[in-house]
Amino acid sequence: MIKAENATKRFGSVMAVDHVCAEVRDGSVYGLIGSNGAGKSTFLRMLAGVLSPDEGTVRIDGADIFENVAIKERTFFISDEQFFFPNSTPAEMKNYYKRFYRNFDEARYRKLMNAFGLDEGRKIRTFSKGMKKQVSVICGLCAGVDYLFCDETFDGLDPVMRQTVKSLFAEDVDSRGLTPVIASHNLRELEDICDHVGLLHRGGILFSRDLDEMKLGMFKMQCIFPDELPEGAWAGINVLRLDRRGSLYTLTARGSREELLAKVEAMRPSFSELLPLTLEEIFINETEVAGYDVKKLLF
Amino acid sequence: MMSKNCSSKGLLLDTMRRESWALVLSGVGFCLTLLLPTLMSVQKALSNRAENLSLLSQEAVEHCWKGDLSAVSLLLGGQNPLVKAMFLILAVVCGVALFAYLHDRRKVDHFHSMPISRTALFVNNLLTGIISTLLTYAVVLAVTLVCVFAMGCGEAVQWSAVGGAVVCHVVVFLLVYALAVLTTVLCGNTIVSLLLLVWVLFGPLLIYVLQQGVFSRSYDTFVSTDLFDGQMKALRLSPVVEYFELNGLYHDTYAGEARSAVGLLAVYLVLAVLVAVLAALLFRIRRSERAGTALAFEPTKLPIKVVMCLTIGTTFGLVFDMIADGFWFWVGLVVGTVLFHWVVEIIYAFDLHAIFAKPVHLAAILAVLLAVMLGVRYDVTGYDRWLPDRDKLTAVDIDNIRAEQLPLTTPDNIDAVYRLAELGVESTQAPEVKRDSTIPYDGSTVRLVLSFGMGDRIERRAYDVIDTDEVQALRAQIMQSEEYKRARWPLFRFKLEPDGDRQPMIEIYTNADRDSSAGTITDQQALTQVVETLREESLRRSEDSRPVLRLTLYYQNAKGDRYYEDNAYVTEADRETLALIEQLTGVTPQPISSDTVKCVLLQYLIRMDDHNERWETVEVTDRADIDALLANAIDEEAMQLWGYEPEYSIRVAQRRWFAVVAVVAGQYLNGTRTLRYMESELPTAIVQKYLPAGVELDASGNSLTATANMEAASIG
Repeated sequence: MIKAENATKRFGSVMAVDHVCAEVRDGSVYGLIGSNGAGKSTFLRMLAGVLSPDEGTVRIDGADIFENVAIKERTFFISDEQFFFPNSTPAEMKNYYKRFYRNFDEARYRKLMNAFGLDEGRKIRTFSKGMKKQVSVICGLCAGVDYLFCDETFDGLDPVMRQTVKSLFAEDVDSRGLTPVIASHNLRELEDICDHVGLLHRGGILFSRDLDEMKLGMFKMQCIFPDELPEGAWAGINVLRLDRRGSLYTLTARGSREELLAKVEAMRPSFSELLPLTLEEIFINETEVAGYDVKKLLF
Repeated sequence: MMSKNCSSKGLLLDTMRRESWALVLSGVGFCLTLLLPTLMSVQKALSNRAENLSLLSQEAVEHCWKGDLSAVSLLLGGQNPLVKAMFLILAVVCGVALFAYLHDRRKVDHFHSMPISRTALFVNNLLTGIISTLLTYAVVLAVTLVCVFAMGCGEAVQWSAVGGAVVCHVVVFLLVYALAVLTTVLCGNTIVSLLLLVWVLFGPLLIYVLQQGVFSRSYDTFVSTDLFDGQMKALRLSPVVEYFELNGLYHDTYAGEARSAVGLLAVYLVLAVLVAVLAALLFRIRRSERAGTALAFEPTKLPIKVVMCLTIGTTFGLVFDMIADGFWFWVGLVVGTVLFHWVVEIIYAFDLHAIFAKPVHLAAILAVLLAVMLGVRYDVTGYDRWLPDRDKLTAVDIDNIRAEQLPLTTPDNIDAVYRLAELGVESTQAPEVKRDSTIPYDGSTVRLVLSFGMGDRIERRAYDVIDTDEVQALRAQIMQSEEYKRARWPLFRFKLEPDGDRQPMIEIYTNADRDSSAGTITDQQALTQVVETLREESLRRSEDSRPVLRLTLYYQNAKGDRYYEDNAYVTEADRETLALIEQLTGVTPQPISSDTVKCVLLQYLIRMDDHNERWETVEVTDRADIDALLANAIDEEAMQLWGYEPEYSIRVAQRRWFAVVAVVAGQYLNGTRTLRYMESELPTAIVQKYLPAGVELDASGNSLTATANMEAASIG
């Protein structure tokens, strides 16, 4: 398990990460959300052992990560600006990583390179930005590590490739308990993969919550009422958001599914249905409850 | 700790493969600087010999062959400047390039996120540079030697010289390489690293030179020693400069001797290890986020800035002082300091807008610099007034700025030097004695350089003292002492035993032999007999005596190369030596023959007033007067005596107001010979006889005009 306690990092007078406390359970997918300059990359670099926190601790299974080779053998960092040796090929990078990661899965590496249509003998410098990202992701996935730290990894990948990568992450999470920590400034990219999300802003974590927990007591519903609803018609329901377009009402509310359906049916709608909540909606609602205008923070 | 897969050997090979440019660069470099020039020299030697065989005698052919082979030996040995330059280039390039990833965030993220400890990463990168360079050098050297042997020039290979060169190259490479690594780790930017490296390599030497310059400018008694010493010990402060002074394990001196440099190389090696360890420690604690900044360690910013500003400020001050004296020195100090403070701040911030940053620092640096310079200027520390504690003096010397060990240790000599120092301090404090190093001796003052040994510490001071009877007596006491003669006279330095293939030899000159020697002594037994007899007589001699023979002492090797030691003089008082030389060589003292002299010119310097002087020449044609003038004259050129010669302890009469020139019958340069005399033999009567009209002796009777004077002569 990854645990950050009051992790703080300053760059001169700039507080890049400000007393961040966070926990990442093994086998979960942790999304690190934040606008540019929020401190996501810095936090990830601390997790990867590149940076040492100025204050507080960043630990994996109770051990500090910085200068801890044993822990680093269990982590792989996919930086937002990947580095490849000059004139190197994917095969050479694979051989390089193999030297450091004892569980490197070469068979899987070949399989994925073929699946992605990448030529492992071609110079990486001739690859497109997306192809370079793919090489990094493949190396990271094949390294056989427990923790994968991805900094804006989906940037530059086309939608199909993005989904493929997410599927691969999900597969590893499911099969061997991989714990990806994915930093992104785009909520929509993470909604179908993350099960835990932390919102960073100006170096501090504003919000960190399990998505299942958030989803559990929150529903979105669309209803049509043929007649005008009386004043206080929604009083019995914990409505978080309510939009009305003519007779069509769209509401987000807390409570149990059965209780909400029963209460709405009691109001005799001509039509009603439950809709899936997007991560963005959940986030907006939750952060508004916490007193933040997340639209200003993220979008 | 590394994973099982990550063996250090495998990683090292991997890194060397990845950084193969280092192998290629060193391979090409050493081929161009060692292999190719050597092969060219060998080819030239072979073709020269083939050509000479048909033109010259066997002996001449062998002589030329040896000369050509010595050129090959030079390239293989420790004097090949091309190889040295290549080692320095590789040390800097490898040291900086292999650690320059620290200056790029992207690379830092990669390397520092990998499961390898920083120590292992450091050692891996460090060894990559060392092995790439040294392995290639070893291979190219081996190929070169094989080629030399294969081409039949094996006798050019002197294994001790080759071995010494290898050791020297490796040690200096390691030191410069370690310094390059250290500066790269210290900085967050490659350009700044290179600038800092240049500073580290040459800064200490620059600071030393500046200290000498400031002291020389400010202190009347300061003696600038090292920079004018043939050995130039100060160069050791810069291993790069010193490297080119080394010949493998030796320093070559101007006298052709080789002094061991093993101690220096050992110090360099220890330094290299210490610098590498320091770099490793800094590498471990270096913050990854400092990539891209000027300096990776914030606390080093201020000290580096202060040292640089003080140094550059002082440099500007001295340069301004050279261009225009006095006031401009202070202007230079301020201009240099302010300019460099601006430059440093701009570099630190990588922002032109930072030019006026940290004004308090600038003010403080300026204040410190000006305070120090004012302190030196007004001799706050009492440098010029300093006198050693007599009880702590263990050794002394006079008029010698080069000795590492002071030779005079008897209480009499120490007391005499100490008394001269007391007189010197008095003279320095006296306003009427103006120090002027361009006129070391003008008849009224004499310049003394005194060395004081207090255990291992040596201090030197230079004084312009009034040349009183006491001063003359003290100097004579010191210079006539046996201890002084044994320590300082070339006659006693001269090695009588053959040194390797170098045989001691002597050439004899008389007053009549300017261009060619009158005789030569090469026989070891005869040479030893002459030198030892002269040594004995010269030690017994205490009165001044006129030199009548000049002995040129030198060594000659099998190739006929001569290594000049110095001159020794036989005076008319050394009767046993004169007899021995006559017996062995037939050479006897020869006066300047009056037959060849057409006339003698007496040249008088007449002082018109305090600011105007003129020379007036009077021609002496009377044969009796010419004979009198030539009788005890010393030919300045033939005897190589130009005045006061401390190395031979001979002082011939020297006057600023008067010169004697004999015009001879054309066989000599310009047809003239400058004549000198011992003090007691000055032809004063003839000089007075031909005194130009209107010129008179001054009231003291010691000079021909009111401003003229004489200097006494002495001979040891």
